[in-house]
Order: sequence, then structure tokens, then C-alpha cells
Amino acid sequence: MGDVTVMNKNDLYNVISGIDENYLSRSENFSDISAEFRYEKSRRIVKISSACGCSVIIALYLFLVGNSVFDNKFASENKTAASRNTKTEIISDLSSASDSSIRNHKNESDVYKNSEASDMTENDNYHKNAPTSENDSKSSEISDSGNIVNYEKTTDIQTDETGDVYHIGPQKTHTDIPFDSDGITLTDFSEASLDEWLSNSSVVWGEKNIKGSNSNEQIALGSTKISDPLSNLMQIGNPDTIYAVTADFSACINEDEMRNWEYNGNTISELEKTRSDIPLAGENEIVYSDMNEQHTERYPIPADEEQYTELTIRINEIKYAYYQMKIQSFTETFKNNGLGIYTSSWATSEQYFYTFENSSNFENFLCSDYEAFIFYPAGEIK
Amino acid sequence: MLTGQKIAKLRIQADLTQEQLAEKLYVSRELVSKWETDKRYPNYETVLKLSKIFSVDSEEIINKNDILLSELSDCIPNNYNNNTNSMIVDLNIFLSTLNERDRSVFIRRYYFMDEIPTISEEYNIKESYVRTILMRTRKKLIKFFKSLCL
Repeated sequence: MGDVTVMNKNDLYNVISGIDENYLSRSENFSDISAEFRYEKSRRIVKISSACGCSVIIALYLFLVGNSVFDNKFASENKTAASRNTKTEIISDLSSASDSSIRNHKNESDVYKNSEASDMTENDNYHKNAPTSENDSKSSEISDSGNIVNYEKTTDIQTDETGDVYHIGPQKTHTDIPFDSDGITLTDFSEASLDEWLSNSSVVWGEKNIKGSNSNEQIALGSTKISDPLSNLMQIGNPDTIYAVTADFSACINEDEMRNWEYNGNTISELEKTRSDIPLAGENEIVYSDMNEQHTERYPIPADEEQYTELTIRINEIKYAYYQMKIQSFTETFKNNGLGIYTSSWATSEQYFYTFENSSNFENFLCSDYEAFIFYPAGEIK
Repeated sequence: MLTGQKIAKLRIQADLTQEQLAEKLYVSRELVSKWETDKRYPNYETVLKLSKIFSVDSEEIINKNDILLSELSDCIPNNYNNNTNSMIVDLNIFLSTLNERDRSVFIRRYYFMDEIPTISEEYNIKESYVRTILMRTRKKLIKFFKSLCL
């Protein structure tokens, strides 16, 4: 699958057998490692508990002030309704920060608080607007990774006979961009796995050499565009045809924000500065082919290659984490448009991901004011 | 016997065509054909489904160690040309970049070949978290090897 080689089994065994003895023996210190996990977890709980404590105090204060000024039934009922509609769920257990959606939150550490508290969070851009009707609901979650994610649902929400809530048609969704980068996780997915899509013979994939992020096309935030190649494919198919689509989100990337985004104590800009301070021993060039075109790229030969590589890996790690954070913030929007988000190991550092659905999902796609997507055929992953 | 041959044999014993097996697994007939000719390996979840359909132990279809090795093999870019000895060095460098808990989980899985529930129990963490750590670590490994190929 993808850009990988099938290595001889014995060679791989030999490589694995060469893992440092020290690492092997340390991995058997189960209690120590377990303690490290517990420390991480408790650190997060303390962090969230503090926020919770402040929230309760503020909520209590607002309640008392509210009652003394507006001592009437109407005010009290409004407060109760707001509290019910805007429940914030804090997920403090890292262990569920896995491969599932940000709404995967059934564990013993779930803590609930009401909306007044999350109104006070500095990253919360959308939470301050009160719901306009009984049917409008607005909620805010701290996801498994500790990020705050807000979303609004408008009125087209129905409940089926089993009690499951579902949406009719696309919903305008606001998803906050989280700035706390601790514990970034990759979130996905709809019910079918990427492997299942890849092996589904009814999916239309399009051409192989069209890749979203290779396009320099930029679109305005709050808009989406179906690229010409995908549009052409859609004209051939019928309404039920499912298309494999590359969603290019490069328009959502704010380079300055990314370069100054702190992840595990570093920013790209400071690492780049350190890297640029490494003296050069010369220059070399590499010729490569992309989109059927030959390119020549010159690159420096640093005097300290080890340090240079280490810094480059670290920079790429931050970029990767930033992209994953972005992708995670799109999950709710895509879910509300009836789409799943898929990433793959061979496209982990790119500003795009994959999604699968029929043309109406893309034609009627609604995104928030700080999102923008260009949809391309995803033939290159087939 | 190769994995593909085992799948084909079990399918025929179950009196199923490739098409029928594909339907049961919600995959294409072409994919079943690729498994049977060893052009691709089914992932672990699919192996479990196959073992239910054929009423056999998953180990009868594909060796667990092979699945683990295949997961690692998927992390190595095809333009990575270092020999085994260099690769051992590279792998240890990579492990040195991980924090202790991620490194330990990786080692328990790919060196000791522990089951995920076992790792979960040993470190007193949820299985889903173990899977997340392994997934993240494999992704880091891919990036690491790719960076060496630049």
C-alpha cells in the first residue's frame, strides 16, 4: 500500500533484534512507565480541574448577581435553559484520545460544566453569542486532546425511532481553532475504513496526477470550490456515484500562525533560526520529477548534518502536528456535511486529506468563515 | 503455505467464490484476488473477520508476527537503501527521539510482540490509547525514514 517497500522478513527481524538492550530492559519497568502515564493524566486532570474550579466560581457569581438584579422567574428559567443547551463536556482522560472522533467521550473522567464557564475561555471565539431559539443549540467541548472545540447546530435536527439524533442536510458549523497543542491526535473517521474505500470498485477516482496541494490556487475563507477535473468527472457520473476526493485545505493555513505555533515547547520560526545559524559546508542540487515536470532544487550542505537533520525533523513534526490540529478542527464540519475525513500514512505532511461521497455533498458543502476547501479527484491514492 | 494460498484454500473449503467472500467483507472481488495472490495482505481487522467466516483461528490465516512485520515494513520508504546494520543504527536513533513511554509501548509491540491487551494491562492504560501511541509512533517512523532519504 502506498510508497513502501516490502522488506525481507529476516532482514526486518534482524533490524528489530538490534534494538538497544538498554531500551529493552527499560520497557520492562512496567510500574515506572505506568507511573509516567498516570503523571501525564493527572497533570491534565489538574489543569482541567483548575479551569472547572474557576468556572464554578464564576457561574456562582453570575447566578447570585443575576438573581439579585433580575429576581424574577423569567431570568431563572432562561438560565436553566441556557445551561441545558450548552453543556460543555470536558474530557480529561487521554486514553480515549485515539483514532475516533472528538465526540468519543464516554469514560469515568468526564466532567460536566455549564456554558457560563466556557464563555470565559480565551480561545472561545463563537461561544459568546447566545442561542436565538429553543431549537438552536450551541456547545463547546474540550476534546480528547485537550483542545476546545465549539460548534453550533441550527434547527434541522431530528431524532429517529431509536433515539439517535441525526441531521437533515448540511449544517453550518463553527469549529474553534484550538491553540493548546498538547496531545494532538489524529481524528477520523466515518464508518467505512480507508482500506474499504480503496477496495470499493464503485468509487470513481479520477486521474492519478492531480494533487490538491500542488495547485497554487487560493480561494477565500468561507468558500469551497470543486476543481475543474472533479467537476468534469461529476458531469459523467449519476447522482449516486461516489467520488474519491482530495480536500485541499491550504487556504486555511496561516503561515505566520503556523510558524509561531508552539508545540512541545518549540516554534518553527525559532527552530528555523537555529538551523540557519548552522554554518554551511557547501551546496548540492537534486533533480526530481513532479506532475510530469523536471525540477531542480538546490540545497545547502550543513557543516553539522546531524544537528541540521534533527532540527528539520523537529520542524516537520510541528508542521505535521499543526496540520493534524487543523484537520481535527474540520471533523465536525465534514461530519455535518455527511462526509468522513481520511488521512493516510503516505500523505501525513500535506495540506490535504481525503473524503468520499456523491456530488451533491460537495456541491452543497457548507463551511465556516475560517475554513476553505478545494476539492480535487483523489486518483493518486488508488 | 503462503497467506494467499491459505485464504484461497479456506474460501474453497467454505464453498465460497471470490465474489461471495468479497460481499461478506464489503470489499471488492479484486481485493480478495490480491490477497490470494499475495499481492496485498489483509489488515488485522479483516483477518479477524475472515477467521469468523471460515471458523478458524486467525493464526491459521496469517501469522501474527507477519502482521507486525508488515506494519513495520510499511514504514520504510522504497528509496531507503541502507543495509541492515545501518538500519539498526537508524532505528535506535529514532527510538532515542521518543519519550520513554512511547518507546516502551513500541518495543513491547514490535520487539516482544506483545498483544495490545497485554500492553494495556502491563502499563495500566486503555487499549485504545496503546493503539493511538502505536499509530503515532509508526507515523513518526515513516517521517524519520523519509527524512533520511532526502
